[in-house]
Amino acid sequence: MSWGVYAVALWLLIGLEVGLRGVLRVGDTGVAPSFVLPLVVFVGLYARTRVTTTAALVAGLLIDLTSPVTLQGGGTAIILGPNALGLVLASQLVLGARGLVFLNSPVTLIVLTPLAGMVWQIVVTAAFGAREFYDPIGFHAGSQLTQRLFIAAYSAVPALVLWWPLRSISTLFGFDAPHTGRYTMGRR
Amino acid sequence: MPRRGLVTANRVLALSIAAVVVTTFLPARLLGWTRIPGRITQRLTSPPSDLVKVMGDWLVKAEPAEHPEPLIGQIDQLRALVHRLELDNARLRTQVEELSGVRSTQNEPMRLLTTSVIAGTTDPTGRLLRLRAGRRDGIEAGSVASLRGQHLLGRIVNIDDAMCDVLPITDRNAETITVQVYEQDGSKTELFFDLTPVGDGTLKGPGRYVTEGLEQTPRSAKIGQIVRLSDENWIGHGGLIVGEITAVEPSPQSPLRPVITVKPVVDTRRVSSVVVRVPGSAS
Repeated sequence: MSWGVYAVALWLLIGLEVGLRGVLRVGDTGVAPSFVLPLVVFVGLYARTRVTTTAALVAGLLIDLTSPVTLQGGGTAIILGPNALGLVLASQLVLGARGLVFLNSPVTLIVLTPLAGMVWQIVVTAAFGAREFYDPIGFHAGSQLTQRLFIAAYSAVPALVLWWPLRSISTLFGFDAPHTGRYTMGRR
Repeated sequence: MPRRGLVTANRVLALSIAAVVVTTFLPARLLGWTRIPGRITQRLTSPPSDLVKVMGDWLVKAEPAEHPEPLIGQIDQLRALVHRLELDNARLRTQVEELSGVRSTQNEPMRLLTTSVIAGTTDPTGRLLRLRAGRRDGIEAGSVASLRGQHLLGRIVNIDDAMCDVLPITDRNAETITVQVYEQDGSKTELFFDLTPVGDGTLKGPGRYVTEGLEQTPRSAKIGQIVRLSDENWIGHGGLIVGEITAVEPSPQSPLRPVITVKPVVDTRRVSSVVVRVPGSAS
């Protein structure tokens, strides 16, 4: 896989995710879709196993680095890991499922994105929930999990929108996983 | 068959994941070193998010730093000024009695700096806002951000040369603030409340006991009344509008003591620009 193309796509999609949050947010809640998740799932569908895991790790680290959490007393900290671990595990779900799905169908990305998102958000909630026992930051796992599962479900919308652009530039990614051999990347 | 080296891609990946597992559970005080890569990453990712946010703000008509109606903004500003002068007056009277010749910090001029909001964090449930202004613009840690003229947004917590973060008063880890209740016509009442953020965008807190005169408990506040900042930890910013009372209920521990819920009038998550109030700077 071309890491340069992946980096540019990740950079643009992080921008879209953060920039459009105010527009796509549901009411007063923090529920807004993730644009990075469909990219990680898309890469997971076509790239080699190690490349997929590394791509998910990089995306997760990027999210961690741009998500400072507030601490009690007013400070902030960057917790490096919860999103990275969450996306790595989510990518394993995609790797496990990709042998069972139609790779050339947009429905695959639309269905797998919320499922992978749920794994991601459960891991993030569990990590922050565990931290509450010894390093509290006022994280309420119950309400956060509900909100985050809605975020995972909502991410199906960008998956639907991103399928065609990602598919059209898939040759630039240069996927070379053996399982994609039975499909032609250019086929719609 | 050649022997594989000690450093293989699979081992590097496994070690990276192991390191991430460790940092996930490290206490925050041991993660200070992540600030620098965090800052660099935030700077690198800000151009596309900034561009998209400008378009998004235009679509949803995000809150500007100044009130869209200049006259209403001016009225808000004058009310806040009157309130601040009253606080100054009371403070100075006390100080004159106690410490002759001491200069009040509230009398120092305030520099107002309008700056745009680049973006929030990538954490969907986070409330931090990142501003396109930093130390080089004269902003200091602890400066106060307001919007639409006189609405309190929060305090500056992270700062570097070019960017800073605002911790909104509605963030679950923001500090407790003391507020005073105002009638809808702008006249003030003698009701004070200590408000703590709930985490859902509102603030909640009990009233302070009135200890003077016959009345030993606060009179009840009403839904729709406006509350303004009246806190000694926020010197120079008293009178800024915190929000509107959306619920009044008795305290579970003390039924005679009311507990109010306050919601900011402006949506702190849909903000396009803010005014940073830097104390102690030249006007």
